[in-house]
Amino acid sequence: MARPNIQIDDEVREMTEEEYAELIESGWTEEPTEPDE
Amino acid sequence: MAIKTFTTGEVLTAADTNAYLGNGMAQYVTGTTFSNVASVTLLSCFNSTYDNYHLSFNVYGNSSASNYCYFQLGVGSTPTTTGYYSKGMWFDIGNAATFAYVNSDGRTTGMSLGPIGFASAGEGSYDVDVHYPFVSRNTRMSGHGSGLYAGVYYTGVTTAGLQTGTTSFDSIKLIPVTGTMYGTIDVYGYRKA
Repeated sequence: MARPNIQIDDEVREMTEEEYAELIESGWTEEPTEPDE
Repeated sequence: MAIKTFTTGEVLTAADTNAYLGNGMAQYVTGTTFSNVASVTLLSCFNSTYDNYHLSFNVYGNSSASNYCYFQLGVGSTPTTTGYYSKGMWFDIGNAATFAYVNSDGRTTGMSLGPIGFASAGEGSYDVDVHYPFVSRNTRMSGHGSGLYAGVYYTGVTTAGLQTGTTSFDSIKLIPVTGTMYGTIDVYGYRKA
């Protein structure tokens, strides 16, 4: 499965494995989630 | 620059036009447009010219339900991911009769914004004032907006936050909690004099 894209200023590219791991660690999901109240 | 009161019949010079009319309270600093990304970092959006900033976000996602977003302050392309106290509170603006709480986002990893719906029809629009991000002191933020949550609720949002460190920030990173997002960010600086 391809990793999602990331944009830094005007540069758009696929996330690196490290960036994708950090995104997952932040709580990001591919499916909808509920907020922590 | 102070306010100048022009008198009847006074000649409006180029210098006065540039100084008093061309320079409003808020000056455009930078902005970006993004499409189908899981995060967007806007570089060089804070500098020594201004102390206080207005950030305008227009964002929608590719997930059909329960999506929302937040942003982090950063230095260059490196965001600061800790040290925040932030909470966004969402209420139902489709319920005209009574105040109806919908949900909230309490966050220590960034500044909470609010719901972003699916496709452009569910766009969330948020305006946030950021105080002293470029100065080596705590950064305080507060804002408001509206967005479609869970495909059902048209929410009004009030949000506030604090970054407790003393880092001099010059960038922001916007992140949805799920999927990818589309939209724009615009940054304005408030004139100091």
